Amino acid sequence: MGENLPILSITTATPVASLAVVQETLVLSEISFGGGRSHASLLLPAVDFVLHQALVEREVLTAIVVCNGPGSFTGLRIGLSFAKGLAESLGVSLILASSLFGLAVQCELYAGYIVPLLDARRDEYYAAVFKSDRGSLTRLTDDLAVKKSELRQWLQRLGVEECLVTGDAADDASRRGPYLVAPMSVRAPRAGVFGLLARTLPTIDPRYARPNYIRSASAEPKQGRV
Amino acid sequence: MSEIILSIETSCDETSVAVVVDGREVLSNIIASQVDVHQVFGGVVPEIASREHLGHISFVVDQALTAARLSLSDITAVAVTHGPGLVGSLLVGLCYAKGVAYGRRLPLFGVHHLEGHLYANFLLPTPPTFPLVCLVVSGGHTDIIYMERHGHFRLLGRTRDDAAGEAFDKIARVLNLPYPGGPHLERLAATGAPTIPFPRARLEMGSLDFSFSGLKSAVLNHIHNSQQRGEELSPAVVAASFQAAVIEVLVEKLIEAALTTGVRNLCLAGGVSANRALRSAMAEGAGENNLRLFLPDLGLCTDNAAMIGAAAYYRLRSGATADFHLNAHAVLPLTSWAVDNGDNSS
Ligand SMILES: [Zn+2]
Repeated sequence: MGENLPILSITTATPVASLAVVQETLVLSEISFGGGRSHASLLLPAVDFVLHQALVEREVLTAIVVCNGPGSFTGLRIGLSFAKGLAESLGVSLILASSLFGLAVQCELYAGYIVPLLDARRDEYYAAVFKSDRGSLTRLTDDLAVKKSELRQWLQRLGVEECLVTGDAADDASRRGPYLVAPMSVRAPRAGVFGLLARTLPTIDPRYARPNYIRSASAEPKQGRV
Repeated sequence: MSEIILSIETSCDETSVAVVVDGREVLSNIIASQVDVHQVFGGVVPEIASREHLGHISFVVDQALTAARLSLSDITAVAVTHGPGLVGSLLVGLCYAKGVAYGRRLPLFGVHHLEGHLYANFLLPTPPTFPLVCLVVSGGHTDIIYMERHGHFRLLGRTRDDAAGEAFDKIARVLNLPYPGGPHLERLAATGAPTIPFPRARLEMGSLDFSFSGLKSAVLNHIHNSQQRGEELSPAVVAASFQAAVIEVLVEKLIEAALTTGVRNLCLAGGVSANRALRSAMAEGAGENNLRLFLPDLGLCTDNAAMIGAAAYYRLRSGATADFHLNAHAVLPLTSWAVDNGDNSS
């Protein structure tokens, strides 16, 4: 069961988007793009590209993994609405993955505490704490929003003194405490990694899939209507 | 073979999905309104609207297919509004539509929101003939558009400040009417006489542009002055007088547009075209000038996906498909997609 059945993996949670086609333990193709260009515009051409590179027809996909946060609200919706439309039209399930979990996995060679951090604006990070121990990764907190100025106290309260920070806010955080910074090469979420993890993650009827926004919506009405 | 278009509209606070056959027959047109969610804020909150769209989109699609007694495998093309509107809201419909079109290998069409409103007229049992002039009047727009043929749009006039519907909403707020103000103001106006002579902004000779900010200030001043003098103010009279001032200019300019271009067909479109006083005043003006007036069904005046499906059909016939890069735009000019046949007789 499940042999030779490819899945598509999508992440648009951060300024670097990533797409991959993964089959079992093999990443058949993968592409990342960033530089502030529109995820909404580039996502579909990139999906088409990775499928072509993998020699996989969209109809044989058995599931779609999509990163549902935390991250940019708009970015999450771009990935999720596209993934819903594609999954529903292909009749396959969605698999939801946490951006912070993916980032931690990319650092699991490090033995100790791993703290992925994404810039959440409003002087906050999206953050979670993981512990890596000889290839087994344990989650110690939920995905949360933490005030930048309170990062150190927050980690201390969790008993974390020494840790590896990763993610697009890792550099920023390294100025706030004695943290080890993950190499640049692993600080952006990679769709291939989510694809490899897919079998360990929960599947969901695509119609019910929602982003993990962490924060509630700001309630500023727009003046004037459309 | 029939073209069965699945169309999606999420430009503001309504998640709408329709199934339209050959640009004429509406098999279903589901509109999930978020008005209750935004009511407490007195306006549309963009982030909330985007979240609601994402939460509802799949279910609205399911409903539209069920109501049409079809499945996705029967659909031959996908159409979606790609602007103008709230970009976060637009993106949900756009990206979802791209997913469906790609998954089912269907052509995708990006439709301009105003083009959609305009094409609500082509869902009438007797659709308009060309050339025509159309007044698109809503909370975001007050435009007079000349159309020589399908996919050909020339802007003859537009508002220089507030859209007519926006003016309705603002005055409604001043009169403490519930959100959304426009329809409430219309109901209140129906109970009063238009006896206050608010100004009509006609702008310079020959201009088909509109301006409603002066009128809005005049109404605010009137209310303020009566309060200062301690006079009893009749909200119904204010509403009726304000509405009459707006409608008079709308009717005048659309008829002027027809007379100066020599066009015999008039169309109305957009949310404010559901206003009954506007519809009857426009019908009267058209009658006096021997012009034919087309009025979309009341249910197709406000935002809906059927109008997007209707517009997309004509794009489909001309081969104007969108490519994989199609994006959503908060601001998007209405541009012609018709292939120019070199006939510039207009
Ligand atoms: Zn509209």
